[in-house]
Amino acid sequence: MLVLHGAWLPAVGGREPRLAIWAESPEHVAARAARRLAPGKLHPFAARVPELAAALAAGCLPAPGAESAVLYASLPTNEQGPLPSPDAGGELQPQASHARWRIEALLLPPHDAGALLAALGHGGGQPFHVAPDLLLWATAYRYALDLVYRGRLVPTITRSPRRYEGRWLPLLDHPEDAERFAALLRAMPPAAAALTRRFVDEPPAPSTSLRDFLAKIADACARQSVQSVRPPRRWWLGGSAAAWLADLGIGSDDRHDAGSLSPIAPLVRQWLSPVLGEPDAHAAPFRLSLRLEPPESAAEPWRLVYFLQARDDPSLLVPAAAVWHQRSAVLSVLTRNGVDPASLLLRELGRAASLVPAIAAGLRDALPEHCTMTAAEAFTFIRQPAAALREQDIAVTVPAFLARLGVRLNISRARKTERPEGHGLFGMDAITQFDWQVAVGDATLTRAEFEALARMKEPLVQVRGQWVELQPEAVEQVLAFLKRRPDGESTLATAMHLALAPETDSGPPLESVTLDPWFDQVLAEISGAAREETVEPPGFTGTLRHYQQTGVSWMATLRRFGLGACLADDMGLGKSVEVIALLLHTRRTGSPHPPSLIVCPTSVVGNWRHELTRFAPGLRVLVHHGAKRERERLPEQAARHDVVISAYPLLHRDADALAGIQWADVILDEAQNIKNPSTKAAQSARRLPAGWRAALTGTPVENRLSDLWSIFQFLNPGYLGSGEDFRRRFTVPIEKEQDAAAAARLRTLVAPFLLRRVKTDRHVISDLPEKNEMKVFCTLTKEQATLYQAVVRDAMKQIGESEGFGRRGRVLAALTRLKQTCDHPALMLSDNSRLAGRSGKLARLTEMLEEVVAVDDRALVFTQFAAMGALLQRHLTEALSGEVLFLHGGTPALERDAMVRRFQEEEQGPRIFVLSIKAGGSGLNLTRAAHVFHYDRWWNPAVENQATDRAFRIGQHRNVQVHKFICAGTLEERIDLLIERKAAMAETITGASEAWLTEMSTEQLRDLLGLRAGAVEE
Amino acid sequence: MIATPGNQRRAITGRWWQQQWLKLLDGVDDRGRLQRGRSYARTGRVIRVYFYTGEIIGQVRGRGWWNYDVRLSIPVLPLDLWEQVVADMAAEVRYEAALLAGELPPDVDALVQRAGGSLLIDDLAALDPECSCDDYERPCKHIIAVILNAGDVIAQNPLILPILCGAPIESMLSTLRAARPAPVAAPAVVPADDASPSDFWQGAGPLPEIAAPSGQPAGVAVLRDVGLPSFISDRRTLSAVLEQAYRSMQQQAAKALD
Repeated sequence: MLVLHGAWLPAVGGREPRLAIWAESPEHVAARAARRLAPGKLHPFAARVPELAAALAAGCLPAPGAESAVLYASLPTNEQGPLPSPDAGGELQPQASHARWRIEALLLPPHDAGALLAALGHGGGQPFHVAPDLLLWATAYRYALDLVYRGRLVPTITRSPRRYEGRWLPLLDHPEDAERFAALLRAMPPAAAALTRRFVDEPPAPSTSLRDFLAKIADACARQSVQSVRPPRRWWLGGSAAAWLADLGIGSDDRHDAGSLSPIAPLVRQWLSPVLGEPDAHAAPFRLSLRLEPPESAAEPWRLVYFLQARDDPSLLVPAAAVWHQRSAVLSVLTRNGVDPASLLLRELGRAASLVPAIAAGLRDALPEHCTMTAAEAFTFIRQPAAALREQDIAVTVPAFLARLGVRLNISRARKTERPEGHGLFGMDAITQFDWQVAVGDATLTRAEFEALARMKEPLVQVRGQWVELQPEAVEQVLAFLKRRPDGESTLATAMHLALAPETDSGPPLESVTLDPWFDQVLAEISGAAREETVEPPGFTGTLRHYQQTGVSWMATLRRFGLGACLADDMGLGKSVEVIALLLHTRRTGSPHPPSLIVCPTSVVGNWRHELTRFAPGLRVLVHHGAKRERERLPEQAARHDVVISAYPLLHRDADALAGIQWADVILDEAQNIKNPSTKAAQSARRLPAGWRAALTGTPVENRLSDLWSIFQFLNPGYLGSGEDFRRRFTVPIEKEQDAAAAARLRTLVAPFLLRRVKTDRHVISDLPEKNEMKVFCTLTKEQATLYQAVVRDAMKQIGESEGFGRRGRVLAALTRLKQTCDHPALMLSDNSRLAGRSGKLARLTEMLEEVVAVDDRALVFTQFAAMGALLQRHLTEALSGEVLFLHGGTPALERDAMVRRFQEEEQGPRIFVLSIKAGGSGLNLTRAAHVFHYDRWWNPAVENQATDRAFRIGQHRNVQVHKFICAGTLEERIDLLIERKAAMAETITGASEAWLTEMSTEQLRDLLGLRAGAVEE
Repeated sequence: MIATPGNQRRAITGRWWQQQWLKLLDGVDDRGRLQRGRSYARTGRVIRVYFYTGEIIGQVRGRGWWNYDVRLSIPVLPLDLWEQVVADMAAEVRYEAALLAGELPPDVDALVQRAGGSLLIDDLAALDPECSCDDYERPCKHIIAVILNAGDVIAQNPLILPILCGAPIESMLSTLRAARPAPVAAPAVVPADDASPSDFWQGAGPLPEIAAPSGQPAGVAVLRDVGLPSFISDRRTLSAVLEQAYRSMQQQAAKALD
């Protein structure tokens, strides 16, 4: 198998440039030993032209324009003759001596060379091996195309020995191209430039060869592509210009007399001089490089040291001494081209001397290796001439003096403040010790050290043994900053803020914040790194799911440090259960404990009391709510209870009474109620004296910046800065400018204090049952209660007077009317009156659906009364300002299907679907809903379950939250208890009716239906 | 015609010499004529200026069909004067450095003056300006234009000035070269080049990756840096043709690279 080699033959002495392809034939290597060889003779194992051409043809390499030629190859040679390349079975030859051998080769003009090199990479199984030198040209070919593709070439006129020619010339002036070129040159095996046309020629320098190759290939490629460009007929450019364009290949089938290019040749050169530079610039392969070196000590002068630097390889620096003493082998390339390296260096120094007086001063009675400068001169040198020198093609290396100035902050615990004992809180206003330092580059200076340095007013100073340049503006900035921020004490809020989102407003960059171990511990614990995960509160009569455990221990940790917490879990994940567990956890020691206050919307007061009784029967709960509440005796009463439940309207109305009590905790449920910081409720909430504060919310507060600020102002006053500050730093950038960095900064700041888990979290899902049923206890409004009692009175009278079938009917009628009353007075009265504010259930449902819509979930609402469904649709459409679907027994089948399709499939479709339980209880597939609300109860679990299963069917992958609404203290609650008891006794209730209720005795019924304490909200 | 050593880069010291040279025009008090001369020089009416030792010959296109010939005689300083100048220059290697760089440090004139001459010519009459035009006034606008034009050339290459005055630059350079002082101190060991010798068959580095093209090609961006050539009259058409040409070649190259 032949080993293909390639070398570029630049245009020399009237010969056109060509790519020469030749090959070693390893089969013939063995034969060479037989003969004695002398250099200049025919290479013993190079392939002959026919063999070469056959191999190319067999490998499908196009070589139509190829001509054969005899060339000379300067190859590693020993006494036996030329050494085979590694691909031909030889070894690497870094040190061998070289000799010329005659070879046969195929010569390809640039365009054909391109075609061959392009085809080289394609297809395996070729009947030859491609040596690295030929591969180099294939890469260089791609690079030439890349230059053309990037438009890095210009139309020029060059002078060949015989005539002027229009040529496309690639530009290598971009730094990236200079690097590419250098990389190609490094990758270039000497073999790639080892061929000459005559025995006596020197092979071209690799860089000359590569540069010429790129120029000719790019020209050929450009020339080929512009043939199709047709200059318009009517244009008038003048003979020379037209000839020039034709010579560049533009529409080149009408040939001009190209001899007429000479008049415009200098004009073209002048025109292009800004991009081509002076022709001389590229002639010398070396340029002057100046390196500024700082002295060891401030007493000595600076030195500017001279080198010659290879253009092709900027890392190759020849010291001036080596140039003056003619000791550099590298520079022999200059000597070979008739340039005296010393004169070159002297000439370049002469140019630099015109710009740098110190260089001129150093050129006296000796050939210098460097010149010296004072610190001030060195500083001026860095500032001014360096740039001008670079423009003059003189390299300048200046040490990286420019030190970045910044400030560092050490935060430690204030020495004198003691951590209060008892429930051990120090809170956001606790005191921390701040110590500011200045970072100068890598060094850290104390305030005093830096001020001393700044007083020197020197541009270049030595800091900890290093020379650094100080920019006066930066120095001023740091000084001003230090003046504004004296060392000393600061609040934990400020410290946390700086530690979590290090930034200083328009000041010097804050390089680092160091925390002492105490503070580090605080951060580690609240971020969860060092947190106890398991909490088993004594007296808790339920089971905490794993994520709920996490929530409780998270709150406990923040509470321990007195830092307010915002628990923002999705609705249905059991925020109140977590809070109840926490309340028990904090009272586990049994020692006297001040009361905790829970503030919630009126509609949830009953639910809270219910949940507290259910999960923490040991806690003494006081509901401070309703007309009969005792405002004056509140402090006294609160002291005798563990938990006080109150509602938002009272925050303001009973503000003084509430603020007069030192609360262990103040917990705001549905904290979005204080989202407007200027409301009375929000202001009163902030005034409540509390050891710890928490906010619960199911809406994603972190996305509503103003709500977030208001809630944080309650939780951790001052932590997010003033309202104005917050608006400027976060609200405006994030909402108006979509500033992702600001958003990220805010997230970081808020993260330790905000815990939000959503139903779809992996670890939450694994914890949740697929169907998560919850009871929602609601209260009756006064109107509902009055009506309810009237119905009971009336019904009991009638039931007492009747028997048998009639009694049964009356019982059922009474049940229905009572259920309707619990649903809504308007349903019972059928009076088509206003809806809002008259039903506890409706208020609660509206609140919960608001949360559903806020997180872009979908919900089903079931009711057994079609009329209630209509009322719900009317009310919810308005309250949620969005479409609400309603499906009942009278809905035509077509419409019904359309509704289901819209709910299931439409991207922006209706979020809420109200269904009458009879119409929607079976046969539908509404798996898109994540929440199912049972607005009223069908006292047969089988029916309810079937309805629930609309949303929960096979194929539903997410968990479904089922909320069953119950009016506390009414028949709803007691029947619910009955059903649970029956279920617990494994008694089944068969059939779809509620008839089993009619079998009760009158006394039982009286007990069942009667209204109990705590049922009414006001 | 004079050929000067050094490179073709604009000399840094040229400005100073140009300013000295233009003092020739300080004596011209007809502002209108100065203005016309300046405008001639700027609008390219000076067709060519030849510099010979001892004289400057210029050709200026007049308002009609005629070109006018301008001639300025430069006083030539004797060779022995230059020998003395070169002897003084040899004391400091910076003079050779400057001459090699095509620079002419301003203090060279001090050396010339010490030898009894000067490079600073400020008396126009001493140049005996001639012009083939039939303007009544002297110096005419053509002469002024040629002086201005010569000033530009001097700014570019101030070595023209001593050569005009008869300085034998080449031989001066070889004298200086022969008199070049020794290096500061011969170091005990001159650091050797650390260029790693690459193997004959193998490069010293990996082949760089030339990625397939991505994004928009740059179009005629390069030409935007230099503008359209002023020497072609129908620039709009030229611009359209070149734009087409670049687009076409970039498409082809992209295809070939992909």
